[in-house]
Amino acid sequence: MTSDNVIETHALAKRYGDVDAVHALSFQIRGPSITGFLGRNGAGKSSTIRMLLGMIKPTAGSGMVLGHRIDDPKQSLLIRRRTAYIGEEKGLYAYMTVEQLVRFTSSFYPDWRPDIEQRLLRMYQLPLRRKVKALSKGMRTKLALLLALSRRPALLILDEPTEGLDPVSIEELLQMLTGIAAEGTTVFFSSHQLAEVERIADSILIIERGRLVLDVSLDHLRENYRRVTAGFPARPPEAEFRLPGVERVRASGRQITVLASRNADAIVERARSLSAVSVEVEPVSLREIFLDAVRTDAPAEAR
Amino acid sequence: MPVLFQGLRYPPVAPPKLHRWWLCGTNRARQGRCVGCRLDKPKSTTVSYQWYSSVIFKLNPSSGQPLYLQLMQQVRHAVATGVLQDGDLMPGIRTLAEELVVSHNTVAKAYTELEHEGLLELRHGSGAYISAKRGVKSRADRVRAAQQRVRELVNSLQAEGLSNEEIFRLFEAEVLFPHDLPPRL
Amino acid sequence: MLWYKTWRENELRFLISALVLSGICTAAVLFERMFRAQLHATSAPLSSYAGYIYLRIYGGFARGTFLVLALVLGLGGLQRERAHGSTGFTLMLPVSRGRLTGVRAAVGLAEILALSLLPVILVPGLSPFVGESYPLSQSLQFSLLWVSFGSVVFAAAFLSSVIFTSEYSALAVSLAVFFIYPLVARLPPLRPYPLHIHYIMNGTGMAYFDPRTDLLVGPLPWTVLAGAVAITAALVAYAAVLTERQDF
Repeated sequence: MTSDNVIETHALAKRYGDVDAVHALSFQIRGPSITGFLGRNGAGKSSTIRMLLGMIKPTAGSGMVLGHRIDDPKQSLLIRRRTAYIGEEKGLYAYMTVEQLVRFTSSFYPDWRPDIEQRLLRMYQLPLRRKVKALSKGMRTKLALLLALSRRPALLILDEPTEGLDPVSIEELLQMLTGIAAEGTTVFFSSHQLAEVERIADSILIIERGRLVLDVSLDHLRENYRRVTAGFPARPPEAEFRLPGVERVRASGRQITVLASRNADAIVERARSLSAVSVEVEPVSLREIFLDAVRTDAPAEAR
Repeated sequence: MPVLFQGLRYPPVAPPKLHRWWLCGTNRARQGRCVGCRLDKPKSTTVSYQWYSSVIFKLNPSSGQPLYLQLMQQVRHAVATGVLQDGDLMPGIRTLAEELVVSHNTVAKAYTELEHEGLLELRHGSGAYISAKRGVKSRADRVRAAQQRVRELVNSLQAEGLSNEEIFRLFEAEVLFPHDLPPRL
Repeated sequence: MLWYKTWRENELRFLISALVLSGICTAAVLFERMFRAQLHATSAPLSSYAGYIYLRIYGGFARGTFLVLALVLGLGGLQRERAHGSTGFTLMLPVSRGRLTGVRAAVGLAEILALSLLPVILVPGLSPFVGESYPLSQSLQFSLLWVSFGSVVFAAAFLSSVIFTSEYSALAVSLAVFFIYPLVARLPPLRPYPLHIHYIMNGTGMAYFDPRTDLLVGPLPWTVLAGAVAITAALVAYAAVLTERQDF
């Protein structure tokens, strides 16, 4: 295990009864970068995050965060000292006021930065004397961010950070994430908002039913993923398109659509050699890739 | 729109020491002090910043081209059209990343590549400057400069008593057969 | 600051408990004449003021209330936070689960101590207002009994609050155990052993209590008290171990 990786897991697994929440998950994340962690509801994103943070214990496999083992309570403490986490519910102590919560949280971190705290308090215009339970979800998210960022964590993990926020707050949040990543914090966030992920992330991980189905940099994806649509005078032979890099072939009538993760040129070449009357090559959006990645296993679910 | 980017800098930025045209939206750097460069007033500055950067750089996450390449192309284009000129200070990596809401790695990669191309000069600690002195200067500018030199030469040759016909033939021969012996007149 | 959080979490419960207990003690002392007249009408006449105080406070009603309050104070913790969605935040703090549990237990036990000291202040302090007096030493000794067994009840509720996901089931189970336990302790094979916490606390049938004067006499059962402390410690320690192992 190298120390360059901010997060790395090896065959990480979590079982609840006979349900495989996470299965043989292996990935590495280098910092500082922004990684989007994608998957459908119940795909195992939260379980993975909670294992990384030592809240739940892996059934098998191992993982390291910032060079510390995730399954050792003592090392988990070291991880948590330099990692911030904002959960989906943004659950904070409802009975405390904003000021009390900030004081409370700051007492745990010797590297707390009062200057950042003050700036963020002013920027977010958080009402110091208001109780947390009286804050809107947007305000709560900002408060959670303030608590996370006022100590410059090495790693910031967010679970569905934009969930329930209005568009303005979402934009602010995304901008904040890019800003702190540029300051050296590695950002790892789960989201269903693919358009957001596509904008800010360096790379993405897609998991489906606990298994990693895609681990790719978005630059690579933009450069290499293509959808080739070819029209033929007669019904085209689908099998001819089973080339390396082809993820999916779909024929409808005389048209054939190929989703390729690389090698688009060869596919175009093949279409031409099969005397295609029209060939169109288009970039593929993250949305399509995501849907394709999680749909591949769809029949298994029906079983 | 005005509230959109209000108060977002993280961590809060120190007031700029240098004029930042992309921040204030004016281009008065060469004329001395810029009155627009006041980060203390985020309302006016960030809004014009947003306007400015959206004019220059627009990244399309789903265009099938890596974002850093898009950014590089747009910088090149801005230099070619003269919107960015030699010596202009580019936004810092973090600032631009935040404004475009893309990863800093994207901006960093574009800047590094542009530096390799010689279009950008990364000065340690002070920022990234457009370097368009040679090669990358806009074609129109170079033609304009060449025209000036040719005009001066033609004028002096005329003053020496050469006819327009002779001057024209000299230029033609020089362009078409540069390595031949000088033509006898 | 963990102390602060823990205190804030059960501040209200504690203040209400303190208010209830002080109310009972104060009313018992200040309205002594009225209550005694009532008692006189319904049951055998009380021999003394000490007997009256024993009946109202150290022997019966106030003591029972105190134990129920101790039980309520034992609830809460991470399972309760799960219901409020703040577990993620708490567990991200750079403190071990053991410490989280330890601080909660410590704050709770301190509150039990504070509650058990209320009658010490109120009973001997208010008695002169009704022209009576109650020995401070008696109050202190009873308090010692209260705090020891209040802690046991607290620790049992504390453990159930760690085990059960829902706070209501934790409360229900604790209450059920609380009411069934004395019945079990009174079963003939168990009778010879000092297991009945109510009897130990009010001295029923114990050598250190004189039922004629309703006063504590002779040395307190130190081994039993030490046993109570040990049981408390064991229950809290077990709760800490469980918390450490829990998945959330």
